[in-house]
Amino acid sequence: MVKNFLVGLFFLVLITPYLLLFKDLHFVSIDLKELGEAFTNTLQQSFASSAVTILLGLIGALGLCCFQGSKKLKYFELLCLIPSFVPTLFFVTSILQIIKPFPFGITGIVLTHTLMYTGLAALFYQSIFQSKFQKLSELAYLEGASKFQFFRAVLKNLSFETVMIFLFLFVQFFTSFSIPLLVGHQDLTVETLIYEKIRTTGSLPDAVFISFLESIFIVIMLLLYRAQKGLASSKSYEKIRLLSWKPGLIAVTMPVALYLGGSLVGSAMGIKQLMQNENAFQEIFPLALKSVSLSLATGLALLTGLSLLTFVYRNRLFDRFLLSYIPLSTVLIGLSLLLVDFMADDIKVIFAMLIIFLPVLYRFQLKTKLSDLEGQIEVASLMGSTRFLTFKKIIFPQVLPSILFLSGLGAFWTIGDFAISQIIYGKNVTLALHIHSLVGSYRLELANLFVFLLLFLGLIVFTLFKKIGLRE
Amino acid sequence: MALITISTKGIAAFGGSMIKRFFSIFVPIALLVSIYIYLYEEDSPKEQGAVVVYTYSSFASSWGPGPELQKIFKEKTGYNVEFTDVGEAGIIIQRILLEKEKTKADVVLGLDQYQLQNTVITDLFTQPPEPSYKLDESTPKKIQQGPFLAYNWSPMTFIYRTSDRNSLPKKLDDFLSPKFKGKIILLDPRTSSPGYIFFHWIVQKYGVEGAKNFLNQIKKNIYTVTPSWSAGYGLFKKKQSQYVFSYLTSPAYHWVEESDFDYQPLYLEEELPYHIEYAGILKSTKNKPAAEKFLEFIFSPEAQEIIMNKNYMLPVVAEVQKNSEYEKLKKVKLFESDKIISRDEVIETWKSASW
Repeated sequence: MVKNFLVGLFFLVLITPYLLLFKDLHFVSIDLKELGEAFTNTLQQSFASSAVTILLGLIGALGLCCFQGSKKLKYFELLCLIPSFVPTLFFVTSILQIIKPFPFGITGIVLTHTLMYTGLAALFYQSIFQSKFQKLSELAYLEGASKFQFFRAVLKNLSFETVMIFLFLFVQFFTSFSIPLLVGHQDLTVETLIYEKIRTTGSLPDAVFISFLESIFIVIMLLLYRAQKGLASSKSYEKIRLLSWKPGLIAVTMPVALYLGGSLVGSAMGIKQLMQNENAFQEIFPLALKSVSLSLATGLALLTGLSLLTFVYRNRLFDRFLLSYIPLSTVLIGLSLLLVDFMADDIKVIFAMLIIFLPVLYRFQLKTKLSDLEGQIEVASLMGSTRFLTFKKIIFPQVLPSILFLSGLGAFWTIGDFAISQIIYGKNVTLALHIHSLVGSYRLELANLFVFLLLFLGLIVFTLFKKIGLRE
Repeated sequence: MALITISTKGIAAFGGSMIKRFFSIFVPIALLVSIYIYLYEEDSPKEQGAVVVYTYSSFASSWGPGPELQKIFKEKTGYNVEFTDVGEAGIIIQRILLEKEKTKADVVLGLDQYQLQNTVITDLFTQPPEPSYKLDESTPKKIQQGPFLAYNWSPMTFIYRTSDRNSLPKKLDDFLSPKFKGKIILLDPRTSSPGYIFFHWIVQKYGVEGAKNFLNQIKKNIYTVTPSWSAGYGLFKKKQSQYVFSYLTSPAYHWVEESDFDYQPLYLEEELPYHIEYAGILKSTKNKPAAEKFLEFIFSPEAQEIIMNKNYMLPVVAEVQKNSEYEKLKKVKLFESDKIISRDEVIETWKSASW
């Protein structure tokens, strides 16, 4: 009863933007040729980007494994998060500064996507290595297996996790807007088409319909995959000797080095612009406070949402829905929430973040963690445990560190949001919005400086969440 | 059975310590956040009688003209004005159409001349008060359109740095030379208003076939085509290209704010396109007298000067430019054609160049 109620509630929350815009969907006129072109281009670039990111993520994870059990690992983890956080424009300008000549076109898109998401993929794989292959590694080491032999065996047992991370990356890249436009050859992509429909032709119904088609497309992709059972997980924090390869660290540190290197250009001008404005620091304080509050509040909301998702886990249909759900584009979510009168602006922003991040975070790690517990849930169920007891005693305590990590990640991304907050608030109340308006008024260098502050605040919030999930 | 019992106890104990830690850290934080949000929300509701203006980010931001206009308007008329940052100009109308009668907006600032060609948009606005100011003689001929009043404008051209020591193109076709390979940044007409202005200009100037030909030739010289003006100008500032299509008035920002005269507009021999920004009063306003007062105010010399100095565009009212940095900008011939080109024609021509 409670479970069905919660499933219904989640379903309702996630489709709220569609429902709000539904009454405006009078008719849809789609140019199929244009749509086909957009889907083909987007599919190509997302597929290639996901494949390369997974490959480099695996290599990066081998590098991270060198520091398993060491305090240094947490610093590398933070480094891994930076590229996916930095606003696209800043990341792209930095890498264009360093990589010359830059390979514009599909290569440029894949390269940029890969640089931005390799760290996250590496983090994901590293946590899988840690939880699944620790004991096997010790055994293989004693039996005299080489690193290469062991790595091959590990790869064979990673298919489920790889599909999950592929899905996460694929959706991120499929819905990528700025990167294909900045470093591609301006080929039509699905997100550009949606934006064009909203902005230039004013066809909201078309835009909503195309967004809906995106989800259908992912559902079809998912249907092609049949889940396989992986190895059971265990808790261990020792270094995995057979999965440690220091050169792998290059894959996760390179993107950060490229970003920081490129950001230094123009930083003197940024400082000059900061000094010119006497009130800059006074202005920044309330904005930073608001950003942190909003980020923490979103983190808490995600924590609650993800915890409840673990409670309703094992509903096959809802599971498929979550894995394939693609939220409407941010502009549409923001616009749809403007139609809601009874919510305060802060709540609307948090609500929008839940819609955007819950399925993303579920795909990213939670689904894999929950699948690992299938055996235990099965045994508990056979022994007559109730759903609530199984949740309380078995599932929740084991997935809580992951939930805290993921909530921290969502909070971290929220602090950098300007797309949703701009529509909802309509004024510069957060640091990210301030940065956005600086970019639009010629002050890119100053904006770049503030991105560092935003990054710092975001990492503090993330660490706060993650720290609670760490073992004592 | 015993084993499972022991292990679940262990798991639960492990989770229990975390849950305690969670409550000890997050409950105080949640409390602080709630208090902060509550206090902040107190300021948010629209002030009674305030004129709500929907506009784009850089106008409403603390660096833009918004806050100063707000202060002076209040001092002069007693009316409050609230600027709502709706992001970019292209989204303003979508928001109003979606909000319908629920919209809080009384006035819209930032629509461009191409958006006004859409009757769905013009139908939303009411006739403003008759302008009493004298138009600057350099403004485009057909600057006033229907229920809208132009409040600032700028010719559009390429911006360059003198320190790049290039031989400057004299006319647009000079950009087709191989020596400009990879040196030009353009803006995407699908997502950027200045980008649209460039491609609209090309199609009007050369015709559809001529424009396709021009675009196919220039594409090898394009560094990239960015989705927004800020992305394009940002890359240009980071020296990723030597030319960017922007406002002729853009260098004034560098001259005034950075005392940097390295940035200059390119004065091409041909007539240049231009970007006009319009203000309008919505028919749905319940605050018409105050909205009209606000519109009258933004055409006062004082407000026009603020807009010019913070929005880095040219004022429409005569005499305002006098003794400003903007006087250093040469007067240019404007491309004013009556040939009607549809949005689809422009976008199709751009797409056919297949970058």
